[in-house]
Amino acid sequence: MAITKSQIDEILLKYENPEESLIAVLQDVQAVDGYISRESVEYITEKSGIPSARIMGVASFYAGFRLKPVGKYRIMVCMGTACHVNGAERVGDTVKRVLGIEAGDVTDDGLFSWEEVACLGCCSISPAMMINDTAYGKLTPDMVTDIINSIREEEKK
Amino acid sequence: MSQVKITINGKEYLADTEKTLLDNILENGIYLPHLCHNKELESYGGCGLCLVEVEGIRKPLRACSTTVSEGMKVTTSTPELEKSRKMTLSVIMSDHAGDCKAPCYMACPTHQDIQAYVGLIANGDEKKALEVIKEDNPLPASIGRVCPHPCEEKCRRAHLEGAVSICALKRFAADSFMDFIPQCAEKNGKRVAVIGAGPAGLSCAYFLAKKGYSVEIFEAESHGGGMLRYGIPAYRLPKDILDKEIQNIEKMGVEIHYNKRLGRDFTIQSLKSDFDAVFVAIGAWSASSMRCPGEDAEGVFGGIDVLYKVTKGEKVDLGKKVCVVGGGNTAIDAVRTAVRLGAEEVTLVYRRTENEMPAEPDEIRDARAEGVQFRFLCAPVEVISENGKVTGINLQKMELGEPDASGRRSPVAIEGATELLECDSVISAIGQKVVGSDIDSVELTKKSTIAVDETTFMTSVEGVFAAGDVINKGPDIAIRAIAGGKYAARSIDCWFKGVSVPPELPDYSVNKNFNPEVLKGMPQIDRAEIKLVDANIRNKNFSEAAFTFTKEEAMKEAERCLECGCSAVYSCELLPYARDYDAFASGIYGKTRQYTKDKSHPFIVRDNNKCILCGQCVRACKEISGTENLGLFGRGFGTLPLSAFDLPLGESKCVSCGACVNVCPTGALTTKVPTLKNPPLPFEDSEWICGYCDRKCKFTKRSINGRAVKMIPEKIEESCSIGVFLLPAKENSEYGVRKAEWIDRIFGSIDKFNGDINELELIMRNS
Amino acid sequence: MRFLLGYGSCGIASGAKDVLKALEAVFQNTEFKVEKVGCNGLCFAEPIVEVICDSGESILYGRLDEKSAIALGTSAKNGSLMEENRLTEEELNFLNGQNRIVLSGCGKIDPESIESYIENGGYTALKKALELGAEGIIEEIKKSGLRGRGGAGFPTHIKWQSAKNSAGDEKYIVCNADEGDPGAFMDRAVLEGDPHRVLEGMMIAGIAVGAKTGIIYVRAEYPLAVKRLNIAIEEMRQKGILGENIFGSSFSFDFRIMMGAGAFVCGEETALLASLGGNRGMPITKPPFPAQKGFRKKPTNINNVETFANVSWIIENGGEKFAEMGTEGSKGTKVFALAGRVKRGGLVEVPMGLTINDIVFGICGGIKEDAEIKAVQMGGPSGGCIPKNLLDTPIDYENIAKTGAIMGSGGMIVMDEKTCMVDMAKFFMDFTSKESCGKCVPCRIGTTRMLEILQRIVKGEGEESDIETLVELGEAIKTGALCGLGNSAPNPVLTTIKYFREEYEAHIKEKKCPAKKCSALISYNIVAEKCKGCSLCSRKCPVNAISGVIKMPFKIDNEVCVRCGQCIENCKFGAIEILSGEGVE
Repeated sequence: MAITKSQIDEILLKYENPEESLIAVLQDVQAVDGYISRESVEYITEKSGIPSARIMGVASFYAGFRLKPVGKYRIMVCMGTACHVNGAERVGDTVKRVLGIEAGDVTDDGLFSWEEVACLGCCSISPAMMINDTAYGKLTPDMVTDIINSIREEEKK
Repeated sequence: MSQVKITINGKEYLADTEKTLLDNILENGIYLPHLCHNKELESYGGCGLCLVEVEGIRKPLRACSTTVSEGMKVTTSTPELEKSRKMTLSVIMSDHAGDCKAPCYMACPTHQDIQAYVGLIANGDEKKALEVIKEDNPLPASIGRVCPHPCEEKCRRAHLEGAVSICALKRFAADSFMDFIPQCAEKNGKRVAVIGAGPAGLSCAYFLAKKGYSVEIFEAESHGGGMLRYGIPAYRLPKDILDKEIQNIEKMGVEIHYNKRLGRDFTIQSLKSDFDAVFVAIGAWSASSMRCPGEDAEGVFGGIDVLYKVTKGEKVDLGKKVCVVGGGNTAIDAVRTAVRLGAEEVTLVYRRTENEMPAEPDEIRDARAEGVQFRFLCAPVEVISENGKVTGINLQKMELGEPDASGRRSPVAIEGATELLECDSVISAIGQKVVGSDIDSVELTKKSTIAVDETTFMTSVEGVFAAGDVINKGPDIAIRAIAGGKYAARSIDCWFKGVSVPPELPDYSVNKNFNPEVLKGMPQIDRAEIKLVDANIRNKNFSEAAFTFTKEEAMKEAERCLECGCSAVYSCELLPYARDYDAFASGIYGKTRQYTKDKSHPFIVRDNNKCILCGQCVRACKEISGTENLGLFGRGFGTLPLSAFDLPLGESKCVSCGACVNVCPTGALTTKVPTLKNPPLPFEDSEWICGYCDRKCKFTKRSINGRAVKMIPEKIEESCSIGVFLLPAKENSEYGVRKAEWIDRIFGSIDKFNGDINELELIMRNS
Repeated sequence: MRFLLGYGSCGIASGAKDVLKALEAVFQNTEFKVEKVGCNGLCFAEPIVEVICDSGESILYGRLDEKSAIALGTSAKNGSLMEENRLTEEELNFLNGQNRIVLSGCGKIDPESIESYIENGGYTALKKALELGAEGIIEEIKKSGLRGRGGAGFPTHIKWQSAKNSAGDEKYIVCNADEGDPGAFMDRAVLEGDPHRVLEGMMIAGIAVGAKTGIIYVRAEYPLAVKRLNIAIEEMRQKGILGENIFGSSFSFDFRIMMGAGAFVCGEETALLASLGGNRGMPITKPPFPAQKGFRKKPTNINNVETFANVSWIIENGGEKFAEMGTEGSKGTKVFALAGRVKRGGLVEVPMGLTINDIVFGICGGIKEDAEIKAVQMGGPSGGCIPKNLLDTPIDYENIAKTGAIMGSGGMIVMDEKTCMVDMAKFFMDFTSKESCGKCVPCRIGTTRMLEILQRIVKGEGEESDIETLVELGEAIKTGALCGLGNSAPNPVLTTIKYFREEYEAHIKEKKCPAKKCSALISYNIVAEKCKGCSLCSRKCPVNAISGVIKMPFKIDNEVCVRCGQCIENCKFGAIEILSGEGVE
């Protein structure tokens, strides 16, 4: 469900100074929409007067903001040091192979998107990835394949 | 404003505390590179060039964001700082995907500003085009007819339908104003003798005369032009055209003494004692031998000898069947001349295939149309004669072997395969040699050519220079001789002034990773070929075989130019730094930018390939314009200044104030001119005062070819309602409405305004 | 009997939720309760339950899952705690070798209960600080010798003094909790496990500089930390520890939390301030320093989580006591996050001055599979690799800097012979080039060019001049970059070239990866003599690169093989080897 104008109004009202709290505003919008859409940005500009160029500048600067929709299952492969040493590359390669999409893209069925992310802070269970809010650790390519396939199976039901 | 004493490079200065350290340094006339600083904008610290050392501070500081304080001791140059600057500029250059100059310019031996003159032709200004041409080429009408145009080989339009017909366009411009003579400097009293009135000699004389030298040419023949006259048949270059161009040079004060031959009538030594300098350009006039038995038979000619005699009107008996050996332009000239002399069967014999022929494809095509036969993969082994007269030639059949050092596949004999070609005469057109016996005083190479320094063109004798076919490697195409004359003239000038000679071609940014894909989707316009007289008519006489473009044809063809070179090359702030720090060949390379030019805006052209991310446009858009239409997007290597949602500028909320264009240090943001093309030409600045309100702001008007392209205010006033670019804004903004009103005031109606900011000078008063 | 379950995000990721569910089910209708505590740093053994017997004895259970948790709960119910899953003596060395100040509450207190913090001595330092007053606090901090734990090690008291001295009607205390070093997670552990300790430190700083507002800039990737900080702040308000006239004094204070949005560069002070103002996190040149012109252009004092977490201890125990620990120039303790090829990874807090060897071998038990140690990477993307022969370097700011690495935030990645140093350098360069804000030329383009050179080297396309180019580029970036991120970005490359030049040369000249890691320079090979032809590898291969006839030696098609390593992991006979250099097809 795309975010509504009244939802954005509410978000803007939450902050005393939306200009200074722009990052928080965008985080709130993204929490609803999953990403920052052009329509949202234009509406924020309309309501707050913050130029769209600045909003887009901020949104495109931070890795936490997405300018494209994400899949129902958002796979985040940790690229932290510990994960790297323990084989994060293999995890990323496997996700890419199993899903058949590049990082940042969404599968045709809209189910999955994946991205490489900065350290998730789960170094002790490296290599790690998160799917939505669930962390998976000590991954091998086999496990990654199984995890993704089981979600696929689950969704088929 | 308060002042403090600071020390810069050991010298004490009074510094203004309200200004940055960089501004204080610059205002005292001290050199300190910088690319992201603008005193009207908030300091940024992006480019990292203005690093200075400040006593007591361990790390170098960015002068642009440092404030001055009493007693500050600053050093602007240390080996570390210079090393860092060089590296910084090198990495900028590695990410600056633009061509300062178009590939055609780079390829031309004499580096004519092709993009500029083609652009001017497209704009309908062939007069100015010729002026531009004559900056680098004294014989454009002649060269425009005979040049094998290495420029066209590099033309990027070739990735589409075919290269732009550059050579024919030059001919068009030259033919349009045959009387044009450039202005010469006042006579400086120095006298230079030039030996030989060929392309190199004429070129050197022309450029020296332009610089104020008194030049006398000594020519062995009764007419000037050298190989252009005697080596190129009249159907390609009519003699009157050549004569006219030589006369023009004479009108510049150059005196030509005809029938004066080196070694017979005078020596280099004798001229040296009469003149302040001597330039030798006697060319290479002896046809090379085929080095096969029977060559001394009657009916064997040198290619150049045949052409010479025909030009002089002397009778040459070639018989009915003529065999020409060779694959170059002289061979083609020889076969086509033979056809015109009435030979019935003319065959060109070449040891490789047509693909390897050095002659121009067009020439080959035209010769074929005129009835010439071609025998490829054949090499002469023996000239057969009866009673001392040629009856045929034995040919060895060849095949192509491995590519040699030059990349051409060399022919290898097929053992036992020979054949006889019957003929009445054999013309050997496989090259020319220098006749060294006439030359005195100067050192020669093993090939009997004059040995000269590659940069200075000076021979072994001080004050004696040489260029053209007579030097070093020997014969080459005419335009290279022209280039030799031009650069030798520059060197001679430097020699008189006692300064060192700059390189022929200074360093430029070159887009090494040009991807033809970016041209996809461009409208197809076929290359205009020059029109020819029907083959069956032209092969019977020596009248000119090709027509000059009409103005319509020329403008249409010139429009095809892709304008590869940068329109801001003369005002670019990066280029001089890159040269100062030799940042071109650092060995640092990697992925480069490949963005499409944004031409959507009515007044601004944006080329992010050239953006160095100094951030000035973004700051200007926010701080000067207040629009904040431009912002920085993304981060790291891929950061770009864009309008929201990456909208084309023309569809964005841009108010067309022009502040971004004014501050751009490179060609990333430039003024869109109302003409079809934007020829890169040097700019002129003049000081003006704005008459819009009572504030009387001082402006610098920057104009190119008489047309204003920028209005740069001395100081930016926040409340100025017209913007610094004086362009009409989009109507829908408050800002735009104010400006529209203003334009109405001048023009009566905004509709009458055609977007040419030149027109707006009406309200500018020259200070 | 108390049951303390490690419930940090790392514990949860390791399965603490299952353990909690299991224990709660077993404990239903009993007097036993599971207390959720923060991460105690024993990451290698998670999920962990610490059982504190009524006698005060503590027993640690590790590597629990649903089944073993049920067994543990049941055994407790039955009155005899089970022997299985207890951490061994050797494993407990991990804790015994430590000296915990910052981490003292982690794993001990309930982070979602202010009572738990107060019971353990919380907020007494704040009261004492109010008595000491601004000058008194700064004096204690000065005596303690505390230096910034975020990376650069700038003396904390100077920062505070400077912010105090700056005129301004409003001042701010900012806690930099944008822990972005890949491989460092101590700040997360403290925020999740003992949030009040950080908040108390910030308030004391507030008294010292005269600020009334504390802002915590925390990574959005740490939702649990944000949640617990919010709970902590709410509880403080209810307790009257926050707001106007705290403890009856004239001191007023309040907190705001701002979530970062994913930019490593925001760990840099001026970038963080830009981000706080709702802008792109692009650094600006200093001066002016944040202490003069910071958030909203007002004097602002910024310290990182660990720095603030030291403050209450110092105020309570006195600066001198703190200064008794550590070395001449580096006082107190430092928390290190151990990860990589180390046996027992986790959080280690020790006094400054111990050697790297002391930590890796003494506390963490050495290298996985008892392999040979090669180097320790310190300081994350801004740091460097310290080779084996320098691992007896005492850990303090100056000595670590001498090696070319930096203390940084305390991430330590342990590497063995299987780690390719060129690949490692490439990894960090990849990180910094992606995290470069894009503002200054040396960092924006320079790091990318360095990365591209490294990418060419690991692909076997390196040129002889590459090493020199890397060094020259690296030095230029160090000199010319605008901020700390850029200035330190070349460190991982420069240190690996300094200490492991021969590995670079092997890649470039011999097209060989000595660690057999760089996929373009290795090939997989089945040793025919060892292969039993079981076909397991062939079945496990994701790209069908292995073929053969059952009971005959199998073969790998290296054209198809993606070097994922599945076959090696699955082969029961050790028949698959990796070749590099000689023998590569």
